[in-house]
This record gives sequence, structure tokens and C-alpha cells, in this order.
Amino acid sequence: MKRRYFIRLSTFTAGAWLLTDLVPANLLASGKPVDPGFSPDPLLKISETGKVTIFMVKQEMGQNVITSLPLLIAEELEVDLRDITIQSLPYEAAKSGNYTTWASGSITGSWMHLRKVGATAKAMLITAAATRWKVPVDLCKAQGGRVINTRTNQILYYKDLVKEASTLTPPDNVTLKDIKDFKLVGQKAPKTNISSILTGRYAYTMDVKLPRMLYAALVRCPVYSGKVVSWDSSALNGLSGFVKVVQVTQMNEALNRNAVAVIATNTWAALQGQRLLKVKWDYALNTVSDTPSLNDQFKKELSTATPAQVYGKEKKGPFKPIQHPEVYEATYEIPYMGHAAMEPMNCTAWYKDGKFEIWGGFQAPMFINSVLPKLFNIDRSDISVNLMPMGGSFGRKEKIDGVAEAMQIAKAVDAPVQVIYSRIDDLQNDFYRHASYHHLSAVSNPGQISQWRHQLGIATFPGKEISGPWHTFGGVMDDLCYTTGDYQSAFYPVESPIPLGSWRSISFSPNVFAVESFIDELAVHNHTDPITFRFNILDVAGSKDNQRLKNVLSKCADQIGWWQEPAKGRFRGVACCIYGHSSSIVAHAMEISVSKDKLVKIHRCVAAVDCGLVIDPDGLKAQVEGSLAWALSGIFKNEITVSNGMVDQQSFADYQVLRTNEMPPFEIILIPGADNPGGGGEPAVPSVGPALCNAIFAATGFRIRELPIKKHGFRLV
Amino acid sequence: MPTIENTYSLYINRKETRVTVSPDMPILWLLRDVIGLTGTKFGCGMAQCGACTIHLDGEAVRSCVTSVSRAVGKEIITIEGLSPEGDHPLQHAWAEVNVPQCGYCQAGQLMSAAVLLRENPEPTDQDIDDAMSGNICRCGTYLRIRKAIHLAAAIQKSRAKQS
Repeated sequence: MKRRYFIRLSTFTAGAWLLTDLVPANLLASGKPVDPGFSPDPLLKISETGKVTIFMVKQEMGQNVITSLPLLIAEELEVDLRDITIQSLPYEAAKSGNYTTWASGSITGSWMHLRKVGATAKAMLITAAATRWKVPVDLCKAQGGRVINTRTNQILYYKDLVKEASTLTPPDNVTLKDIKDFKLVGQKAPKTNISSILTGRYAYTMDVKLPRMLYAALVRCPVYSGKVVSWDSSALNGLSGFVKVVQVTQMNEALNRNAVAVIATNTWAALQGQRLLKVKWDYALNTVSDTPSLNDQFKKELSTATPAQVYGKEKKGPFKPIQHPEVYEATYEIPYMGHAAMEPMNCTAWYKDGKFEIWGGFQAPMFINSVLPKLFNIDRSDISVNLMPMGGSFGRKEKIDGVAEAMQIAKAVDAPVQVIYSRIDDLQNDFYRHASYHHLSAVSNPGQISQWRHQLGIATFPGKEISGPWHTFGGVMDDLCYTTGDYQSAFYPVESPIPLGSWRSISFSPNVFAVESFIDELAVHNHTDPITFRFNILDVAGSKDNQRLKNVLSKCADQIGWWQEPAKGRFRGVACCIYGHSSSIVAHAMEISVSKDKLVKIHRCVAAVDCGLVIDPDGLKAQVEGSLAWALSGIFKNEITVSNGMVDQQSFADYQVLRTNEMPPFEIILIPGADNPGGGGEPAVPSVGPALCNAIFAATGFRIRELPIKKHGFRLV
Repeated sequence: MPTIENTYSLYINRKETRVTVSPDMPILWLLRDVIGLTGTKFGCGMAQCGACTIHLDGEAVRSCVTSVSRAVGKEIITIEGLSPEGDHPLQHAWAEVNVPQCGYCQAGQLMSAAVLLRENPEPTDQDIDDAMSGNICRCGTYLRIRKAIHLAAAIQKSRAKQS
């Protein structure tokens, strides 16, 4: 394994009594020898003192992989989670793909491997003990960090076996524990990083402090591809802590914005300088440059243009509108969305002797190696990356715009530099969830849907590229769970004036909203109960996932008491989602009341969740709770609008997010409907919105077809 | 824009610390960039989100909009100084309930909750709403924060009985 070096914040600070957790720093290498210990896999090391270290290759941003993934190694290795130290695996560009953390895929993608890592180490430790005792291995078992001779009850601690185990060749095949013998998996686990979070020691990316470190705040062009004409920094003269101004260029159209950076010795001075700097821009506006013209363009495309892509029985050929006297139609408008993670974007870079060292939080650090060396005309090996935990990401930190900025600025100063984003910078320079426009039409009766059309106007970036993650998942192509007879969906891209990126639950969030709202409309149209209608159009014989979905819907209905009338003045709504690519299935039901002045109170909210085998039930519930808060914020309150190519929203004042007094009571039922684990971070987002809007329709007769809900005068209480 | 720097003697987490900074620098940046106490977090810089909450003479204040000059002669307590051994009833309760997700807002949540719990040893849900709705959490830990505050109230009560 690569050597690694750590610094303590206190070494460099005036106070020198500080205590953050260790921060890695390769450029500060001092050459201390490393205890090799017993390390049959790069993800695990047992030292001769008995210290067990598990190395994280997935990135932590709140989804608690820092607990659930080590749990899988600890389970097979027979050690307690509390006896383990967790570090992030030093980043290796050659294996950059392993570090990618997205699509609710950390557990599904690595659970078998992690179990094998633990089981392999355990097998080698047992072999080492059996050899020493000169007994067959089947007489030995591992338990609580030691090997036991079951005949003599002799014990050997793992630390005493490190040397011998290190000389053994790892076995090719190891036996994994039977799932029914799991002791840690499936139980509530303490978060492994909790004590450092609760005492302020947990170092997020913005907490990196390096010797002589400078801070940079950027004035970025408010129109994405606009250019710098000139700037005037005269107002900054005499500003305490001000160092210099540096221009930052857009390195490619999908990467970052043109900007001018103010560099200072502290963040406050950099932020003041950012306010005082005057920049002249050449905006170079797109044809579609504001929200109303985007929506007009969607309508125009849907009514006149041939779709860019058609999906249906015949995968090519023209879109064929339904020609039937009983066609039922509805249109849904869904806005852009920002991320607004609590930790604003930031990135630290140091340029020294022709090499860069980066500190930051990235969901996909591989992009740093695949994109930046070419643009900076350096070798891949000239960038080293220190991965650190993120204060929330939700898809935002897949992008490496901050690195491109920090590296340019680092080259212009003789010191490490941290690029910091103010809240305004963070919200105005996001890579947004795309805006979309859905026209659905269908012919149906209470027992079936015989024809179905879904036309999607979608904002695309860059250019008119239709992207799976952003546009085509969530029941708009082959992943629609309902049987719909004659089926077509059609995509109409419109180039977005603002850049786009992944947003927790990607295209499931808008597409499931449209589909599940429309299914509710069809149920009402056919005078059929919404759950009964779903059962009628769900072919459970043909698909195990549909069977699981039916079970999830049934359990959800039972929990909220769907088949009994609600109390007077209360109304219910339901929606569901098969989150295909992470094999998880969720249904939400809400019970609400709406006052005459449109105050919406959610009295009860139920989520039934089938994520298959559950590794960390408390962590999974936390993700489902978080998904509710995330989705309610989005569906009720949030929209990003664009005027003259510029994002209108600036802060939590005009991009209001859910607060504690608005969080409804919540009941979560976990239904393990599969033998393998599914993902947990995203699947419980998409069905929240349509369940709530379907309940609002039940309560008021008013159908929400344009988001966010607050546009229609409703308020959440 | 000429700015001046002054030297201040401040009491931070029960220790006297001398710093030379401009008087209008918010306490947040003094803590983070000058002293190196990074447990107090930057979330908005506009007193909208509560991530930077500290105690100034026992009151919960947003350190991102409170200038250094206002701290003269007062006691600053940050998350690092909330309890000497990390054993405040709230820290116990937060761990028991596994409150944090990303954890970034939690220092601010804890500092707001600590004032609530001191002033009101048995807060109701409404009291919690009133005291905590200035603290945003994007991960959505609100229900657990509520549960943990009630639990901390019980821990505080039983500790008071024991002593």
C-alpha cells in the first residue's frame, strides 16, 4: 500500500490547541516507516498491536457507508465494530473507478467483496492458529477478535497471529457465513464516526488547513458560458488580508465557468473582496435563456417537432398520438432544482514543484484524472488527491468544477489555496436537476390501460444529449411497472441555459411524479380506488419486482388503514416506485388535512420499503427519513428559475428548504423481499411527491400539475 | 478600502486567546481561519441556516454575522467546548439516537439545543420547533433531533437527581 502522511491542524495554527481528526497530506511527507501488519487485502489491516483498520474506498457524505460497509468485513472477520479504526483508502488514479460513490450502489456493488475480505482474513488467521497448535483447522473457530481451539479452549488473539498469517497465501475460495448466523448485519449499529462529529473534530473538506494556506472567493460569470471582458479591483486596495486577483477560465463547456478570483489570507477577506470586485462580462446568451421561454419551447416541441427518441414496441419511427374518443390527457410541469448541501462547495489545491495535490470531497474522483491532466498539460501522476468526507452532496459533488478552479488559482500563488463558495455562489453555480414537461395520454377502464403515451420535454446539457441518469429512468421506458397495452414514450430535448447534473434519485424524481400522478388521475377518472387500480394493472405473474411492489403497496395500505375511512376532514394519497437499478421498491401513503386557507397538514406519512436484505436497518431508516425531508422540500417549496441566462435564487431566503417544524410524523416499515441487499439512498425519494399531491387532490379536488406545490398557494404546517 | 486590525483578548472555550484581526471579522472566521477551531461550520453567512451557532455569554448566536468586536469581555463556547469530555446529555442522546447523517449541521443543532435545554429542562415538541426551526438540516435528521432532545432532557434530569 502507498505510504500516507497525516498532519494535525494544530501544528500550524496560532492557538495550537486544536484537535481535528487527522488530515492527509502527501506533499508534507516526512518518511516515517509504516508497520506492515497483516493485510491480505488493501481494505483491511491488522497490526501487531491488534489494531484493526478498515479502509474506505467509497466516499462518505451522510449515507453512512462509513458504518454499513465496515460492518460487512467485521461480520465475517468476527470482530466488534467498536474495535475497528476506519480510514479512507489512499486514492490511486489507476483504480479511480472503485472510488465512485453514486446511484445508491455502494452496498449492492461491494457487499460480497467486503464479506470475502473479512472471511479470507479470518480463514488465514485460523490457519495460522491451527498450524501453531498442530491441530486441523476445523477444530478452530474465530470469535471476538481471537481464534479458539474448540477441543482445548486455548485462545490466540489476532494480534498474536499477525506474523504467521502474513506468510500465508490467501485461499482462492472461502466460505461465507450463512445469513442466518449474522450477528452485526441486520442490527442497529452505532455510526462509526459519531463521536468526532459530536465534538467538532470530524474534518470535512472545508476544514483542511495547510501551512500558509490562502483562500479564494470567485466572481463567476452569472451566465454559464459568458466571458470576462475586464475587471476593476481598485476597491480592494487596503483590504486587510487581500493578496491578489487571478483570472480563471472555462476549460471546457461542461466543466466550469469563466471567473475572476480574489485571493486573501482568510475567508472573510476573500468574501469581502468578492463583493468589492467589479467584473464586466460578455454574456453570449443562448436562444432559450429564461424559464418562460423554456416552457414555451417544450410546448412547441411537443406539438410540432418529431421527437429525438421514441421508445415503445417499435423502437424507431414516428410518435403516434392516441386516436380514440375516450382518451384522457394531462400535462405536468416540473422545474429545475438545486442541491444546496449544508457544506457549500469548496476545494483545496497546492501546486509545488510541477505537481498538484488536491483536498476535497468527490463522488467520482475518476473525473479528476480523466479530464484535468490534458487540460493542464501534465501527466496523470502529477495530480494526487486526498478524499475527505462531504457535508452533504446529493449528486452535486460528482462535478469537479471546484478542482479546475482551485488548480488554476494554485498555479498563480506560492502556497496552498482553498476555493470557497458562499451560499450564493453555491446556489447560483450549481449543476441542476433538469426541468421537464410531461404530456401523458391514455385509454383506460377500471381493469386495464389499453393505450399509453408519455411525451417528455426535457432540458439537456451540454447540447441536446439525452442521458439515462438524468432523463430516461423512472417509468418512462422499459421500466414502467404497469401493463399499458399499446405503449409509446417520446423525448424532446431542449438545450438548457443552465448546466445540469445528478440530483438525488436522478430522473426518477420528475418521471415518477408524472407517472404516479397520472395513474391517480386515471383511477379517479375510472371511479376506482387508487390502490385497487394499481393492483388491476400490475402483472404480478410476469415479474418478481411487480410481486414485490404489490406486497409493498399492500403493507403500506394496511399500515395507514387504507381500507377503512379516514377520520372526518382527513384525506389520503398513495404512490410507489420500483427503483430499478438498485433493486429497491418503495410506496408512500399520506394522510392529510387541508384548511380553507390552503394550509396542508400531514398527519401521518407511511413508507413501506423493500430494499431486500437489510445490512444496517437504523442507517436505512435514516436514509428513508432523509429522503422524505429531501423530497418534501423539493416538491413543496423548491424551484430554480432562470432570467436572462442567470439563476434567480440566491440563498435559503428564496430557495426555502424544509425546517423542523414542517417535518411530519413518519412510520417506516422495512419489508425484506429479496435475498440480496438493494440501495437505500435514493429509492425513497420519488414516491413522496406524488403521494402528497394525490392526497391534496383527494382533500381539495385540485390537481397539482405544476411544481412546486407552493405555487398554488398551499403552505405546509 | 482601508481596514484596520485590532488586538483582542478573547475567552474561547474557557481559555484566554489573543488575536489580531479586523474588528468586523465575524467570529466564525476568527474561529475557523485564525484560531483553527473548525468545529463551527459555515453554511450560509447570512444567519439563515444555523450551522455556525455558538454560545456568546450563554446565548445561542449565529457566529457568521456576529463580529469579533462584539465578543470582547464575553465568553465564547463552541462545539469543541460544549463539554470537557464530550459527555453533555445532548451528545449522549445524539449518539444513542444515531442522529447525524453527513453531520455538517450538527454542531449548530447541538449548540442551539443546549441553550433550549438549559432554559427549559422539559421542552415540548412546540418548544423544540420554536428553538430549532432556525437550524437547517438537508439530510433530514429533524425527527431524530426531536427524539434526542427529549432523551437528553431525561438524561439531564436523572443526572440532576444523582448529584
